[in-house]
Amino acid sequence: MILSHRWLGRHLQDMPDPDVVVRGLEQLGLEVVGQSVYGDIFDTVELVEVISRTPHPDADHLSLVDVRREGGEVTRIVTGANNGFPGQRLWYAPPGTTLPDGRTLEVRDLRGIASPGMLLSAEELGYQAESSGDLWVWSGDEALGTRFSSVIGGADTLYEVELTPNIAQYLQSVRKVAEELSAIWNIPLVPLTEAFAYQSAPLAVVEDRERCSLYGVVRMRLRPGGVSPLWVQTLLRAVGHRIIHPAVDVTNFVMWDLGEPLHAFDARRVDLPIVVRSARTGERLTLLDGTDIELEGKDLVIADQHKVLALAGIMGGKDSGVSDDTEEILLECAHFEAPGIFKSYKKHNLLTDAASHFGKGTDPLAVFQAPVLAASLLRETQVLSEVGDSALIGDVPPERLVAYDPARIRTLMGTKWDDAAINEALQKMGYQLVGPSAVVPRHRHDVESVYDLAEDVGRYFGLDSIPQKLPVQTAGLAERQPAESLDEVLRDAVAGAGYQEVITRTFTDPELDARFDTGAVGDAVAVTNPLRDEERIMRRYLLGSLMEVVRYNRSRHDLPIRIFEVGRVFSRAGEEVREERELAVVLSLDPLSGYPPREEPSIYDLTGLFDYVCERMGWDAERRSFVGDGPSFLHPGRSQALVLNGREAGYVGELRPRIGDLYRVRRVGVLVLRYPSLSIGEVSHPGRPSRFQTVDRDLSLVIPDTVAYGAINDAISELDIAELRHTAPVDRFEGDFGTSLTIRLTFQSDQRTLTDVDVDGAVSRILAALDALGVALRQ
Amino acid sequence: MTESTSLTSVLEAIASADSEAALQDLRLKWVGKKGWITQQMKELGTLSPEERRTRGAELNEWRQSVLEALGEREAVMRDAAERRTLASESLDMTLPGRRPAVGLLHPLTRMRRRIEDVLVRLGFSLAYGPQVESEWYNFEALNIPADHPARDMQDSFFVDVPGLVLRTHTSPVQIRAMEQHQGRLPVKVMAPGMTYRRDDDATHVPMFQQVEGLVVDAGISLADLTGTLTAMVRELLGPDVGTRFRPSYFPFTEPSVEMDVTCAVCQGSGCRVCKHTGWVEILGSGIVHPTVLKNGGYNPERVSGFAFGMGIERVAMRIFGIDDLRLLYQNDLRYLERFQSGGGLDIQ
Repeated sequence: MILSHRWLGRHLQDMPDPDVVVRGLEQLGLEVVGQSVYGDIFDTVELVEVISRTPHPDADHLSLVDVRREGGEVTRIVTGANNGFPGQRLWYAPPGTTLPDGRTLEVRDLRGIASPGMLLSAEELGYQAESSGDLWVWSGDEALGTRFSSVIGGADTLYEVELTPNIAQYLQSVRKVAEELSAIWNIPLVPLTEAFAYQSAPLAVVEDRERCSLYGVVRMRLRPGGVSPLWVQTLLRAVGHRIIHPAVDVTNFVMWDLGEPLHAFDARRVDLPIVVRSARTGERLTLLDGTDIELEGKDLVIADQHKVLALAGIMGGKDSGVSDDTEEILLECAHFEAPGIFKSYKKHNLLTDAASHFGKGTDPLAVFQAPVLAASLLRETQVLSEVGDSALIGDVPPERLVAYDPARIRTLMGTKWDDAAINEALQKMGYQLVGPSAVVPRHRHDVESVYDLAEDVGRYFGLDSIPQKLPVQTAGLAERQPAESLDEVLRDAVAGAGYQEVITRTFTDPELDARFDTGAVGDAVAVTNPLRDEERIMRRYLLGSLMEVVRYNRSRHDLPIRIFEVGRVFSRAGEEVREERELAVVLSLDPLSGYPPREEPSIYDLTGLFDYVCERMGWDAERRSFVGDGPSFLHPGRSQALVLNGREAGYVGELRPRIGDLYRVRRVGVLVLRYPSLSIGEVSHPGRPSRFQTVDRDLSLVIPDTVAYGAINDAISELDIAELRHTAPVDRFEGDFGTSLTIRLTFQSDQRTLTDVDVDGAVSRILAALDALGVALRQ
Repeated sequence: MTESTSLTSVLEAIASADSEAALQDLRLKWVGKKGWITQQMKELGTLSPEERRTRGAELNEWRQSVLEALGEREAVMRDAAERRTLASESLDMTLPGRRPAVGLLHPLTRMRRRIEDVLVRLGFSLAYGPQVESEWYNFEALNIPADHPARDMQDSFFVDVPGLVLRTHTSPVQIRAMEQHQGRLPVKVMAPGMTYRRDDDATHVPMFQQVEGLVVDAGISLADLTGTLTAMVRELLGPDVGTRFRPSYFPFTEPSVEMDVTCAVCQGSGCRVCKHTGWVEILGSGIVHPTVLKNGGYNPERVSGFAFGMGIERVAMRIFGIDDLRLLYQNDLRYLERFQSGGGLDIQ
């Protein structure tokens, strides 16, 4: 909402500076998100007097108008206007002036004659004037050179305020804002005029009293051709309204001034009495803006005896609106039930100014103020010739009470304000206090309980005036959650191993998600209103998201990829949504360029990462061949299943190169592990280090092609030789005899120094076991 | 040192020897087993005691001088050889170093941990809830009924499972945490996590992270809220940061309060970033609405609480000086590499 400083000043007897206003508004909870100025662009527009008018020598439709300016200077302007005769006083915009429509004026050549700037019409200034020609002939007696900005009262400061939903329920009105500022500043308000005395003419019938508790209609006779007072036009322009017709301007003015939207029907188009009723199925209405809508039973409409005139509280119909020749209006002043209007404007997507007021909440008492204000504004420029008959149907909604206890307010706010101070604050904010209750002002639809009273007392004194403290409690130690702490340890472990963490969006494209489907989870959860087509499901697997990061980076930089994410994946089984934890790691395996050289990345970096991470987490884990075929997107000869607690929980391996190609990375290793939330690992028990020497034995073995290192390692492990501490491959090469693999066996005892005899015995057992695999010592 | 060779000339010969071999020859010639001085010393026995003493002292002195000269020359030659070797081994030390392959945690992870650390020190336990949340926990239980205007405030993503929504805030964890506490006091939890809203521009992304805070106990007041939040924000942003509280609105708190901090760009004097106000909003908070307490199983007549929700990205943007939130979720690795320092527990 745009609030005008000057408009506020209509209601407050003594306006402070804008800085103070901003602080006051923010103390009340109206966040000021911007400040601007209205009217400063008129600082160069000056009053001039025409001294002569002659035809343009080379153009029939143009005239040369000489005007006298301040100090007697004469300027010649070329104009196509049909007026601007000697003696008339006009508004002149010299070159450099920017008009409200955004045009910046300069010296123009018009058929061979230079014309500096423009003589202006009222429309060009954004106003309406009662003038018989194109140019605005000024009837005031201001001196030549008077600026247009000064006749509209000088520049006005505008505050752009953000209305929270609770405040929008009652504070979309300059008067209401002024009332609250008056309370906190202790500045008197300009009193309201007396309430309008409605007659009870048979002008309207309300069928739905629930949704329209008050419906007032006032007949007013107008003089066609009139305009709104200049100050009214100025305030409306300042807050962004176009000037349309005095009857419409006045409804806009009253809406912002009192928070009560009015509607003016052209009396000629209404077959009285008006009926306020629910729409009938199939009824249609062409709105003021030309849109045709279909109504339904839940819409409240204003109808006459034959047709629907308006969608109640939201927008009038095109056929019954005022026009330039309107001579009699029926002015509607109503109070509608907000939720109904809210639903209607949401359904028809018609967030008009009226809907924004009625759909959130208005003051029923404004129904009595509005006609008085409207009539006085229309009278000011003799637009209103007579107030005719009127009617008011319905009753003012009763006042509500809420329980009030100053001690409770003190407790909630944590302050030492005494009862008298709290009472005074609430009274200033518009409440009446009656024993243990507070009478809620009728416009305060937001107030439900003592909590709201506490808020108003806080707003009255200012929240920053509350002395701060820290809660003192006998709480135990703050706790972490084991499952999430596990995620954090996992993140640290993988990052510590040299991988950059990424955080990707959890929504994705179904096709990309399906690309890495292992068949292990159920269907995807679809997002029914995604922002983008490629974000229409919740991901079931992390890998697709990580590969998009690969694509993004590879299309921008040629750099090695070492990334990981620990995040959530989603799937469903019927109506049940499962959120699981996944770790995914991606490592590009292309040779590294650059100098000094680095070790080439290899898929063994990822298998090693898995072994390291599982040790670090204390997990019971292993890598093994897939049971059956592995996932189709993996390289069948370079992949393994990952097993956690005896269950297959993921995979490690190279992507098939044709999949990698899709992401601009030909060779890429991936590791994906779906781990249960309670896979808390074993704590390491390292014991004591042995004080005896280790003994290394290297065995150069000839191995058949069909025997993997894992089989050799398993065969040795199965012997369960206590002193064998470590087995590791140290060399491999191909010779004419086949494949040679050298393994290093490291022996150590906790009790004694091992002898050659001890070690030879163990080695013999190992060789015997390997013999069964067809593995022999190389001779 | 035959009678015709002086000690001086021997020493000179040693000093000018130009190879290990020449030096070895000289050693053998003069002080080796068969060297001249050694031989002379063996012959001392043939002399009279008087002569033996004089000659012995002389020979010892010569021997000492020769050995010292040999040692010195050896050292010189060893140094020269080492210099030659080292010179041949020099490297271009201006080449880029091989940086250790250490991965970084995402700046938002570090920022989240930093916030968690501050709150843990203030006594908040960690609590969590699902990202695909029921409308009950996300809306109704938080006093946001269907058709409530407040639902407009948070444009939600819906999913194809009836009654579920991508949670629009971490506030549903308030209810879940109260339920888990089953009436025990105090409830003092924080809930970090992913949240979703249908917004996408420089200051809003559709998936973002919040940290929720909730304290419920007898006598919890707005003063506790402002005190706690001020302590937290000063710990996060530095002791000199200016703070203020403004009334606001959230359906699940009453009164609702927004907290502003002085603009990091202009330090409060007003600039484009803070729309010339000198302040930027850092979080939303308030006294827990009685309906929310009831929905969590607590009696609002006996206890009260405060709650707050803070965007982790907003704190990160301020600390790292970023003006476009989307950069944090682009996962441009070259960009993420720039977040080497700060943001975690290490920041000052």
